[in-house]
Amino acid sequence: MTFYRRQALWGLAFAAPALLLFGVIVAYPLLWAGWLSLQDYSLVGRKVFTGLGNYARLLSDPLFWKSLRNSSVWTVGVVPVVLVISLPLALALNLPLLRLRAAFRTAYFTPVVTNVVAAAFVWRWLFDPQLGPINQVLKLIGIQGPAWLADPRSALPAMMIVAVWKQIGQALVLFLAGLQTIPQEFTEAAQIDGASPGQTFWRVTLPLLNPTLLFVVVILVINALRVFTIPYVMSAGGLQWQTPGGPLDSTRVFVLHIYDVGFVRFQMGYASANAFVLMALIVLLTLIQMKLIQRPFEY
Amino acid sequence: MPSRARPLLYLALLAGLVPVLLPFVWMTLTSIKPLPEVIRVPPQLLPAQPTLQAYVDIFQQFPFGRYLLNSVLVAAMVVSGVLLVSTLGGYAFAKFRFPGRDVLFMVMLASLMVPFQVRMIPLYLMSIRLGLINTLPGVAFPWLFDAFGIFLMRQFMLTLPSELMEAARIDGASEPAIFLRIVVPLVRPALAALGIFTLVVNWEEFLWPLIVTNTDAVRTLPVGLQAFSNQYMSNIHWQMAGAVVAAAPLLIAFLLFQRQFIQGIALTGLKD
Amino acid sequence: MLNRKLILPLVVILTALLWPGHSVAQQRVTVLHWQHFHEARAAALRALQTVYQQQNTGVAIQTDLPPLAQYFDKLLTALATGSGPDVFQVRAEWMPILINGGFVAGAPESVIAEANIGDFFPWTLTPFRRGNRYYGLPTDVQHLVMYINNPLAREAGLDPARPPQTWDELVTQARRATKRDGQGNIVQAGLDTRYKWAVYSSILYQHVFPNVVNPAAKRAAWGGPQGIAAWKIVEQLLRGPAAVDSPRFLPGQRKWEAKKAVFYINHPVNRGVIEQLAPDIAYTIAPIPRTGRDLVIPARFWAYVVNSRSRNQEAAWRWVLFLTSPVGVRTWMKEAGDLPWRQSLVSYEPNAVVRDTLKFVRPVDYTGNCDPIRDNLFDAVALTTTPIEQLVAEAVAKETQCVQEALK
Repeated sequence: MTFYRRQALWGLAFAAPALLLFGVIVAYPLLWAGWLSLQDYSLVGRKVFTGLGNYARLLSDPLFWKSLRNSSVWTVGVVPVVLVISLPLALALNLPLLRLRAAFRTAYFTPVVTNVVAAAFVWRWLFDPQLGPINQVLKLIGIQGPAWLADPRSALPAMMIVAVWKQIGQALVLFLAGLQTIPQEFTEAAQIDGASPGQTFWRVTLPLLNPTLLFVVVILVINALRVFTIPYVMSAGGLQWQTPGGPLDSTRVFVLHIYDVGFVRFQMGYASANAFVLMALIVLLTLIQMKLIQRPFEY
Repeated sequence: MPSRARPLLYLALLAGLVPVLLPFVWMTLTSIKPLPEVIRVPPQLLPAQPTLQAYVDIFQQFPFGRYLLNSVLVAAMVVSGVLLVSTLGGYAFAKFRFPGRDVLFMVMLASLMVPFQVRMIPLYLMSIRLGLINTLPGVAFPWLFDAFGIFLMRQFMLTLPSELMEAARIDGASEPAIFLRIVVPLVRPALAALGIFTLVVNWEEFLWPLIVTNTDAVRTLPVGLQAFSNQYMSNIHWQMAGAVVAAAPLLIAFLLFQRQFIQGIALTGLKD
Repeated sequence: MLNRKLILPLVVILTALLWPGHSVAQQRVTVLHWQHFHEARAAALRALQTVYQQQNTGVAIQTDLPPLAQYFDKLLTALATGSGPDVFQVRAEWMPILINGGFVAGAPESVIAEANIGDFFPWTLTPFRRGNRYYGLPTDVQHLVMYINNPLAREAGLDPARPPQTWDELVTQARRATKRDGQGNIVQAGLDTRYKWAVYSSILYQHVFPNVVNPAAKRAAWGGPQGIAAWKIVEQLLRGPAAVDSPRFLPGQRKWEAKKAVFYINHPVNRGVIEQLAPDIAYTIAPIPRTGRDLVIPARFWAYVVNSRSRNQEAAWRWVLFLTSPVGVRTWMKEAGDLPWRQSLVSYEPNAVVRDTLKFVRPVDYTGNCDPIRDNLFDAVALTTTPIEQLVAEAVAKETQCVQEALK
């Protein structure tokens, strides 16, 4: 057996558990959903094969476009902000000279472990247009704060702020892990050679962090496109008199749309079609990101 | 780092903690207020009549102790499963060439995009057929495969110089030995990160446990938390107490996992 | 070192795999019962379960009470896979969908004979009857009343003992009770409009006849002048400088319970909530305003139904019968603050207004989950300046589509 053949077999062997579980847990349900997406199936009626009918329907569905727009705004707004906050934070919390590193890191990690329903209650108060601290602080610096969750124009940004708050800790953990794999010899060598901290960061640390950075960006984007709990809980969860995705569908992100179509309006086939469109979009985006960000590097 | 910048650093970190910790502090303070105080307008941060009744109540309403234990068991299953499968899989996708490797990887990543609600019904059907309804393995099983995990481990393993493995092969080491003795120790921080990630995400998963369990014997913590909003109102003080009870083990686990991040990796092996 | 690290997780995993989770098989018939969780109802259910099992030793009732927010997800998943409980609870609006889809079983004649069907308020049975079969029995019945905060009303120069009789009077009184600050922001709402369904349904069902939704023609029927007149009243309440409430005022908060609103339209069961959240409010319960001479009140309720795939349909129906029997209804009333939906029990309701207004209920037209469309219309009235006619036309078109999907 050639070396390459042996290598390929070993590769498949190592990948086997993952592939097996993938087949059972993910691929089979997806195939089922894919089959469903080609049918007109309201949970309570008969299944009628419509081919690409559902896909054609969603192109003319204003709620589809609205959800797409909302999810895009969410992604473009949340991901860069999380990156810009968490990367410097990770660098700071990685400094050996920093005392109480563990305590600081745990404190910044707290939002990640905070239950969303409980957090939503507090954030609703923080965002209250008249009594909430956010608008009161804005008033102090002379800005008339928006009505946040009550106004279709500012409800989505309010929830995006909560999403940023919640995810900084996750990105932080990943960046910390990435920084740990950069051998200290390299940064030390750069400093011995007379590089400033800035140059060390841009020329040594950042390129070595590239795989981690790619991972964090891809994860943040995927999470942003499939976010559900924060918009659901903050628009309606726990309050039976609010509409999810409200006010006026301004916070109806894609997965909320799929959920509403599938489980509230019972249109399972149509919901599946929407889900596959979302999937295709994200694949496209991920491919683009990987092309743009991933660069080969050498030691 | 110049010494005069140090107090500024601490100041900046502490200032950043205010928006980050405020919700959690507010939550904890709300958990010790009686319910009429909770809905007061304007809200007062500090309780006028602090009481631990909410904590007593939640343990009486639901078997929270049992829920906590179940959450720990399920988390253990899921984290071990994900770490195992992802490390093996990540290694395969990073360091081996086999037909269809890249396509398979993209398909796995793509599968993340489909929201869980879409997969829920076939997964439930499968659980019925496999006899997993109302069992702890049933609660854990959809989470054993995590494309994120494979992606993360692959990214980390891409940074490992292939010379290490090739040298070991030339020395006659078997593939499993190379994996266990050389590769795994080098990706410890990634393992820790993935472990934390998986733990945190799985800890607050409530939809699947709700759907697949019928009795309290196998329910997990988030299920209890969801029940505090009923048809007419939210028992907010209970919600907050429950959230504090749910967050505490995770924060402790995180503090303990810290050590993985404080140790650096020295590639002294290369020089030999 | 690696081996030692693996032992602990292995032990944990083994424990988890062997953890007893399956229920012990019973010799007797087991009836699986699902309804959404509510602390008081859970207590009532336990009491009823105990009594029933004592009286019927061959039957075991097993209950599962998922939280409301995920209740339907769980139910739909189970129904879609052909499994699911023997007895479950749904909103009455879903009955046409469930009956059409064959998900619910009709009640056996013997059960109906014992139920004393004539004792139920007739309007509670409309959604369950198809031909001469009944496909469910009502539960959790709630109509609407108006709550008035006494001290705040008096402060505004109003008399809680003389509540507004008509919508115009409500608009006037609520405007008087609304307070604003220097910048024109509301600091006290005249009418707490957070329960949108209550406000717009009261007005709609008093204006639009004979149907608000026409199931035979599968369309929403409130787009005509009657419907527009109804929504113009909503416009009076919510638009302009004289609005009695605003979405920007305490969004997501319980304004009336926090003593920041004077009038409030909600179900009588809200009394239990008030007792927990704001026991110190002195309030009056009044009938909701009316349009013409007669009072017309919409009501909403739930159904206990039996799964058509159940293997214990007879036993399941007997359990449903018990839950909606006079004993059952009395227990719901006592423990959970429910209303008497059997006419023989009306005298047990302590509040005169709640009791007497039960006669004036007009059953809501049942069609499916189309309420969010009207909720959005309500929001649009408050948040935009688009003319009512246009908003109503758009909403009616959307609702017609929703109705057609549901009644396919």
